[in-house]
Amino acid sequence: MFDESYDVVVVGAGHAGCEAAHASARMGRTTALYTMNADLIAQMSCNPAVGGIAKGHLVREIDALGGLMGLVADEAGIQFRLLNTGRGPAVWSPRAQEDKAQYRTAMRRVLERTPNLFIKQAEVTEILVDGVLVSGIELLDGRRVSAKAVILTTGTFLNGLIHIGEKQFTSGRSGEPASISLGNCIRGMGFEWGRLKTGTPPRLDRRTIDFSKFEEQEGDAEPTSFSFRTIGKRENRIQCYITRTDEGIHNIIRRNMARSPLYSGQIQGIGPRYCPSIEDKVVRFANKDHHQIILEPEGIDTHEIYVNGLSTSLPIDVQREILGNIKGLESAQMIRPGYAIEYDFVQPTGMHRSLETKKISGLFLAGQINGTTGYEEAAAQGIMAGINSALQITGGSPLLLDRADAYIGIMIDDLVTKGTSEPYRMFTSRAEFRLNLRIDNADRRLTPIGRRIGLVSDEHWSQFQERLARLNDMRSRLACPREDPENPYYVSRGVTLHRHPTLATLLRRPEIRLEELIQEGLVDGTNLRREDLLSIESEIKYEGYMKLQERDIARMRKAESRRIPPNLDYSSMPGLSHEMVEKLTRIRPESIAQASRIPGVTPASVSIVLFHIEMLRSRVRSESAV
Amino acid sequence: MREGLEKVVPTDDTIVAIATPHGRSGIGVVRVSGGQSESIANRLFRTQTSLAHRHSIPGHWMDANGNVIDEVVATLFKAPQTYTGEDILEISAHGNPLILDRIVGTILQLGARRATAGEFTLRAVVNGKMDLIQAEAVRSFIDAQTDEQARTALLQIEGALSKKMRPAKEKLVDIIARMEAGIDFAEDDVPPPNAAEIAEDIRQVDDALKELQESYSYGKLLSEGLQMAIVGKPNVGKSSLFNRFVGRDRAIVTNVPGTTRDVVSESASLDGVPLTFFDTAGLRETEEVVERIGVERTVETLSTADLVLFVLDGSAAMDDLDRNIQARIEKTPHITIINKCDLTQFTAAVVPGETSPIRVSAKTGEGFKDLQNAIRRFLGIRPEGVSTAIMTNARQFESISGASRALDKGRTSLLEGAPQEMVLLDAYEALSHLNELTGEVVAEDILGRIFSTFCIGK
Repeated sequence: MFDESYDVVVVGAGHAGCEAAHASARMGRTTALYTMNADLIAQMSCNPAVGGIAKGHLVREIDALGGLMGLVADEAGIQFRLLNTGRGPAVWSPRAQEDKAQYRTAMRRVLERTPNLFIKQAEVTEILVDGVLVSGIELLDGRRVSAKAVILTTGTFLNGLIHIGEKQFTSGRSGEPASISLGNCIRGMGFEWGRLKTGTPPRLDRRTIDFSKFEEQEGDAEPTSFSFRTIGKRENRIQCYITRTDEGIHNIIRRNMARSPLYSGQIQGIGPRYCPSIEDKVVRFANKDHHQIILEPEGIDTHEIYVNGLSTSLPIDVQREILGNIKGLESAQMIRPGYAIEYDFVQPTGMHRSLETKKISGLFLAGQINGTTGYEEAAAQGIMAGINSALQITGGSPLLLDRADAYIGIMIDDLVTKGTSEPYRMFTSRAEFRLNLRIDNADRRLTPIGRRIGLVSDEHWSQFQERLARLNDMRSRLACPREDPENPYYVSRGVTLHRHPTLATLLRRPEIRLEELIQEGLVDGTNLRREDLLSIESEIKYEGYMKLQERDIARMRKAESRRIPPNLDYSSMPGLSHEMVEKLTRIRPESIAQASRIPGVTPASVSIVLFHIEMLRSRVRSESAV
Repeated sequence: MREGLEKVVPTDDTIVAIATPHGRSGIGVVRVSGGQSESIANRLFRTQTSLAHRHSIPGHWMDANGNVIDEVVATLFKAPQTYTGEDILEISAHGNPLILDRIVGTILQLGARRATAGEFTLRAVVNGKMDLIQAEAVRSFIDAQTDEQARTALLQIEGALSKKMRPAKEKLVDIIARMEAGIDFAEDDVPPPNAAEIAEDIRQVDDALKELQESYSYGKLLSEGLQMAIVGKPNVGKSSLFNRFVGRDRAIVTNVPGTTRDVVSESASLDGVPLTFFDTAGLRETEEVVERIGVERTVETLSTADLVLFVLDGSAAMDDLDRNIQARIEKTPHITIINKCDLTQFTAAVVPGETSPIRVSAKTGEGFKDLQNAIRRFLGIRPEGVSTAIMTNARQFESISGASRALDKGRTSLLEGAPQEMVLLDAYEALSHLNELTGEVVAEDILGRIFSTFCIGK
């Protein structure tokens, strides 16, 4: 009946699919990774960059768990910047411009060398279900593949519809076919589904741009890599170029607004508010007389340039007219036009926190199909879906990161608890325990977890152990009292040393920096890496604040530990309004904490639910005592 | 932002509430449950005997500065053999709402939290104290929950408070949005928030909250009223004064000393503040039984009054009895009144230790305006009136105070150069206090604010 058989089948080889397939294969499950085009594995569909604020945190977390994105982005990175260094280290976040072709190559190389992982080029047309259990997939050529778990990472391909001006056509991504059969199959499975929209700007030919009209944006002198495992300094090989639009350009856009499918009513899907198209910006921020544009090279071996800030679905002739009026782009040649794309997504409230659908056991969803946007968000869900499918097959309980564990935990909790009405992107402001979720402690938060589930390799683990040893060494050195108050370093900073404070105490002051203490010879910093210094210094500087957060974290975890039985009947619960019953039944929260986060659920209803589950518990207790 | 956490009632701290119905009654009970119950008693309960499980011990309840609040009977119930399964302390005091509130206040100061509706029952369940489904308990819990909700909703719909607070809260959300935008969209073309400007805006929010805070004492009076005792030696005209206030003959007025033998109470209002007057028996040494009981009650009333009206007979010089009474009320807020200024033999007695006694005639009404103004001054009613928002309950006051403290802290650290992701902790703390008062704002609203304010996105 089946032509082939795997433990796990992953449908789609984008950023979510690659991480998912790698994780389940690394954890010992035979895994098939299906893509419609094996040459486009890990394609970056939009901008040529990985990371950014909050997204850089996600990449670090994926890496700490044993995932791939950080390593590959380091290898294919061509310009590195650490963002937000004007603020405290909790919100520092790495970002890198990537060589898109090299990114694909590097990712494919890692995947090909992963045991148990098989890359397959074929179009998946159907998900096979046996009752409420997933059983496999069917391919366009008629073959049937059995699987114990299926992970869907379909990106923008499900019933993808591209819009450029008045023109529209089905497509999964520029130049690639959409997944129509699979899309219709999923629509028919009874999930709550909807349409989202995203967009991308035109790409230009480098030779036709006058760069003298732009301001250059350089990489950092000291590049920061994503992965804790990347040894050796990364190199900046390109620059980006900054300019801005003006009122003349805005007028062109206004004049042609009726031709934008976004405003003509042609597009039904909802786009992200934080990644608006240029026509959106002009309409919604009418009094802003300029918008920033950054030219980003798509790679080293190509002349293709990405025009960051100019995402649009306006017709090609209007795109040309806009470009022709930007200084330096007057004679720019377009390699590809910008476009908007609409695609199907499944409302993520239909999933458990393991990313398994509530309806069909063994079916996992990750990435844009869950209503998210961004490579990093996709990859982070991918690795979790991969891990949890592998754990499910071996009968293990799922890995559920909570909101104090990781940004990954926050994202998944937000998705399954609140659902989404626009493409969901990670922000640091979504993290209530932001000071604890830093890039410098991602490994200490997550690598032991990755090791426990079998995703962190021996080599990765020993690197982590070495780093812990370096940190401990340094901490004990800093715990010693210093007795040289006359040192010019202290004197020049007006620091008076009473009662011989330890160096650690001194470091709590914002003006005292560990790097400088080492430079001044006040403490021995041999063997320490840059990220080690950052870890130690952040811990010390945030210590007081983190203690305050710990009380809230303990409260949250206590509320998480109050589990709600999955089949609790809310409708028979006295005191709950109809609306509350509806909300609670739709989400079926796993814990009191999750119930409290459902939008619109009132404190009184949370208390009533708590009262009820405790009543149930005490009844069970007393019955078992009899 | 503490996602949703403010909706979850914690079950491991110490809670306190007034257990008897609101209003004046013979006895009022304050109940404390949780691990801190015993240590709270050890701090604030002064007694000859030591507390023991299920023993009712008489003594005095003190405030943090060691002043006696009331004579009380305290009973400690040690876990687990208690209603909630935790240590419980029950304090029986006089049934004056102001006293009970002060007792609760001292307990809150030691780190306990005001209990929410039905919370004692919830704890009983959480701690496995109800081994059967007790329909009654369930129903009372649900009722408490829904009642509280209805009450809160009503307050929010009707109360000028939330209206008054909205601009302050909006402004706080705006401040948070600006700081968050600066952090999350540093890559974008977002103007970096200026620390001095943010600090100034925080100060403005704080000022608005402080104004609300100040309205609390008045708001509380508005809801609970002012308890006033009228005292003086027999036949100085206390009851005439009382009748003039309440506008009818409630107390029997004769010129026979000792006519009023019990405490008579009646309510009137001044600028909307309910005033409860307690006309007291004259304080004189007496052998007559009924009158003696009256005098004892007077002493009791004196100890619980917010304000004492001390009445002197202006037609005669102060005597020992007057001085005796004056000594008794010295420590209580009081207004000294010289009555009978209409009498021809009025001598305008000099009252030692009293700078501006009010001269009135209870009979003709002369000087009565002056007396009302003196009471207004005591109430702190400002001439511009009190049409603005008024905070009426202690829980609201605690939320606003908490918000204000957090804002103070945030502003200070901002000015000291703390990074804004740390200042935001204080700002969120303040916001969550305000959310306790007027419904909720979730993280999405802050992001929504950012997206509508700043053009974000590349």
